[in-house]
Amino acid sequence: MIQIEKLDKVFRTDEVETVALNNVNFNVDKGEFVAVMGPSGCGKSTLLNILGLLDNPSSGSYRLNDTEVASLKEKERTRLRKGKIGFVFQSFNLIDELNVYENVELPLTYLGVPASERKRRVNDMLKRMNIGHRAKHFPQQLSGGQQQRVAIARAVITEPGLILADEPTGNLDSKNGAEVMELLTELNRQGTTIVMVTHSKHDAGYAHRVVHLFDGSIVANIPN
Amino acid sequence: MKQLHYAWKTLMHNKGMALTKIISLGLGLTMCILLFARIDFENSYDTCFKEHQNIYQLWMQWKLGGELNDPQMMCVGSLAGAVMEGLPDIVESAVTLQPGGMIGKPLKYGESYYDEPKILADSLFFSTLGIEVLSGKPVEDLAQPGTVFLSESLAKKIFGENDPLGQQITYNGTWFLHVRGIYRDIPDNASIRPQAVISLPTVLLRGIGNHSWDGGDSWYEYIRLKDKDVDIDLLNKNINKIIQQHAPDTDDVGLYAFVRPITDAHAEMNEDVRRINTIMWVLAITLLFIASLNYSLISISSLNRRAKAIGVHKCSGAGSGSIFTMFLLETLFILIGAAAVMALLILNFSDFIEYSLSTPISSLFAAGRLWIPVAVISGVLILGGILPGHIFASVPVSQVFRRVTERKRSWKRALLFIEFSGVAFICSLLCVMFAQYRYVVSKDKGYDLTRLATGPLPSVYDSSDAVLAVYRGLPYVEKFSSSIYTPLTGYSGEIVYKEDHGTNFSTRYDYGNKEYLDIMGMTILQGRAPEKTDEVIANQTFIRYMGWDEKTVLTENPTIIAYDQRVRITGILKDFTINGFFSEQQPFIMYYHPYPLKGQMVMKLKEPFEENLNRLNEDMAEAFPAGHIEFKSMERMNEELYKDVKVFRDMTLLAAIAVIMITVMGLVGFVKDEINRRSKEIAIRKVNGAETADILRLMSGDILKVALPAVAIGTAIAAWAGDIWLNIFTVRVDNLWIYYTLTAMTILIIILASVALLSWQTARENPSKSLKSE
Repeated sequence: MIQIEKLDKVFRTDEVETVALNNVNFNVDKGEFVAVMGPSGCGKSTLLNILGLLDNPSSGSYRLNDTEVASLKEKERTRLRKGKIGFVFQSFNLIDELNVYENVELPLTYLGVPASERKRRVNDMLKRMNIGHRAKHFPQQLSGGQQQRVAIARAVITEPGLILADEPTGNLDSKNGAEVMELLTELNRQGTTIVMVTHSKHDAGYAHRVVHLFDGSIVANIPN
Repeated sequence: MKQLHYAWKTLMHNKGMALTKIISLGLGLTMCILLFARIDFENSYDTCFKEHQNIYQLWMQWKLGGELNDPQMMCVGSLAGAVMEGLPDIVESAVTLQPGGMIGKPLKYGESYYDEPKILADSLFFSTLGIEVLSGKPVEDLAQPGTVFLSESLAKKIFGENDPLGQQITYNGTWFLHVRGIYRDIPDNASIRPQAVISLPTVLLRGIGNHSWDGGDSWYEYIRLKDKDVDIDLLNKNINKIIQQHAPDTDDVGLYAFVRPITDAHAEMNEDVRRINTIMWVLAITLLFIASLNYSLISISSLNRRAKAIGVHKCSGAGSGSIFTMFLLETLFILIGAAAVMALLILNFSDFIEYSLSTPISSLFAAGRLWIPVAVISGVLILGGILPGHIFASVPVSQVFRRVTERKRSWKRALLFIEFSGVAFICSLLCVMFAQYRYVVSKDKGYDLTRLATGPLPSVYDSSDAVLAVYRGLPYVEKFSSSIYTPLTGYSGEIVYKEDHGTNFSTRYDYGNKEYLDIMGMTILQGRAPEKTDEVIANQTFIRYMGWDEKTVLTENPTIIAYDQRVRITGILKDFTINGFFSEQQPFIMYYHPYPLKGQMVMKLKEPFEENLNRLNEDMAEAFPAGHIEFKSMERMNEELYKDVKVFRDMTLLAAIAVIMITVMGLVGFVKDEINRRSKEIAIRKVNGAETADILRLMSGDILKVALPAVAIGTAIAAWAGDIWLNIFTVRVDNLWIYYTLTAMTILIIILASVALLSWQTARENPSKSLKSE
């Protein structure tokens, strides 16, 4: 599903050049659950941004489902991303002004799914995530665990082939963290490919293999 | 259109911010649209007449002493008729009319007086100007004496639901006038807007008015052309050929005429109109920019807060176009709210607006002028919606989970710069206007109007002795006198001839006596007031025009030839203003008149003035019931002279209030955002020893870098616009630079004080709090 070869990402300002990713080679098969670990500033989030088509690499190749996507323009990246990649963030990133239902519905509206179909799919998803009773609530009215479940519901509502999770349990207590990891594992069992950045060895234990990044390079690739 | 829903949700989630935007934009829109509507109203003058492109006004030019005088709108009475008769293939219709002068008193029906504007006109008035006649036959009826046509509204006011046709009213209780026709009300944007049209023969048959080729240049005349594509130069040549047939040219005296479109008259009559329109245009554009850019500023300031939501939308599949559309829709919602605020303001303050703009709201928002609000709102949508929409849409999705405000500071500073410049411009201009208005109203005019009232004499049927007895019996009257004219209403002119009978120059003149000069507070610099009919007193400018030396001339027993008689100059009068400080000082002489009552009365009342003025008018109504005699405060008449100045000043005041409120809202948004953005920096500075004053200095210094040049530029623009406006006057308030400097400094102090106030809490906050939240 994902083939990365000799990938570099360099951030430049007027005076400073920062190498975030350096000659990264990395593959993810369809249906795989991969954890990415490494110290702060090693390039984990940069890698995730590139994998999620939020950013382009400075050089190298990135093939997603056999399509070269390394140098696409933002408009093309948006089109390719739409409905095919779901995102889960450490800080949940729910839109404060939208309620739970509307947050989950969001990707479907941009896919042009009809209203009746949207309603059915969102309600099903909320039930599946055990937050159906919170549909009309706003993010600030939910606990951290509930918010992350809403975020996961939003990430999977379009049934994407790939979910990218950036420290999904980083802001949760152990009980809620475990629930979230169970959800991701369940999604993976159903066929969704997952790439997850984490600092937690415990969470990384849910993945099929763990990739270790250090100073922008992959230093280890260890199956669980 | 799910974006519509998201845009609405965003607004509802930040009601406070949305309300700030709506109010600031509403204020800006209101003032901007009112100003543009007022400009368009002024520019539309006389376009209300049917096929106005075919209507031309006749202008006349005298040659006196071999030299051409300036063109004038008042013509000799016979000109229009002769042009129509002489050019039947080109001219469809022509009219001679006279507003006011000969018929200055009110109409009377029953015991009620109606002082609505009225004109004298010949029978082709309605056909020439294309005014719709609802009933009557003007061509036949207005050729008869004692005929009046009334406007629809005046007929209704006088007669209610009764049929006005055939009814009899009077001109001030003296001449009988039969109502023979009704015409549709003439719109507000017309130079000629009578409520009653009295047939010309009504006065001519009474021997009033000079309707001939021999002087009497007191008529307004218009022609309607059959075809609008007439060669105007050729037409003017033909008109002058006709004049030569009736009033042949001599070496010394000549009469020339030309036509100009009727629509030119308003701007020509009020040269100030064009100047004021220019400044109003600058004010309106400034407001439009400030309102729009302020909206942009507030919006861009919220980028930091909203970046996360934008990112989530983008991660969920929204493209830049969707984000842009969403922001435009949000702007549209805000604009709808702002339009509602505008409607509320206009409805609730309609009296104040009509008074301040001196124009009915129904005229400002007439159907043909509705494009203005549409255009202004579209302009704000483009200016205020597109820029932030573009910035929001172009935020790279990879950065949306980071802080993104830093790189947009330059935009905010540029917008703030424009706002500060706008505030400095409008406030400086306003300050100069207040100073100038105060200056011209209170400046020494060469006379003293304190406790003076003026009014007409009773009708000719009352004997002078009886009238004098009434006046002398009024206990609250300190002294009284009379003259033909007043310096507030202006004087008629006459030619002063040289000793060899060549023309010298035209001077203003009046009749009066020592008591009159005394009551008016006019100063005799040398000599004395005239005491015989062959004596005059002249002002300083007259002496200068004659080429005499003011210090020695009286010792030479000087005489002049004026009005076909030789008169002796007995004294020199200190120059005084005529018709306000709008025109250059004119030469003036005052003849002696032996009668205690002539022309109009001037009375000096005792205190309390207002109460005594009311008593005077009550006593006049009781003593002289046959005519309508109303005395008016001369101080108020003097203020009326500057009504347009006051109107413009008040409009600028409204604009200034709007722009200050808008900018303060923008400034608050900007500073709050800056504090939020720099909270960590402030905390670190404090940890490293910075005190509250240092933090305040840091924040103020940053704003000052924008404010100083902005205020300087705004003040410079104000000085330019102020100079254009001040050209209206012949005198200017002294030391204008002080006003500009003080205003600029005040604005800077207010800006700095606002920044200090807003930064105060953060500057005093425990730094650990900010660092923890980071």
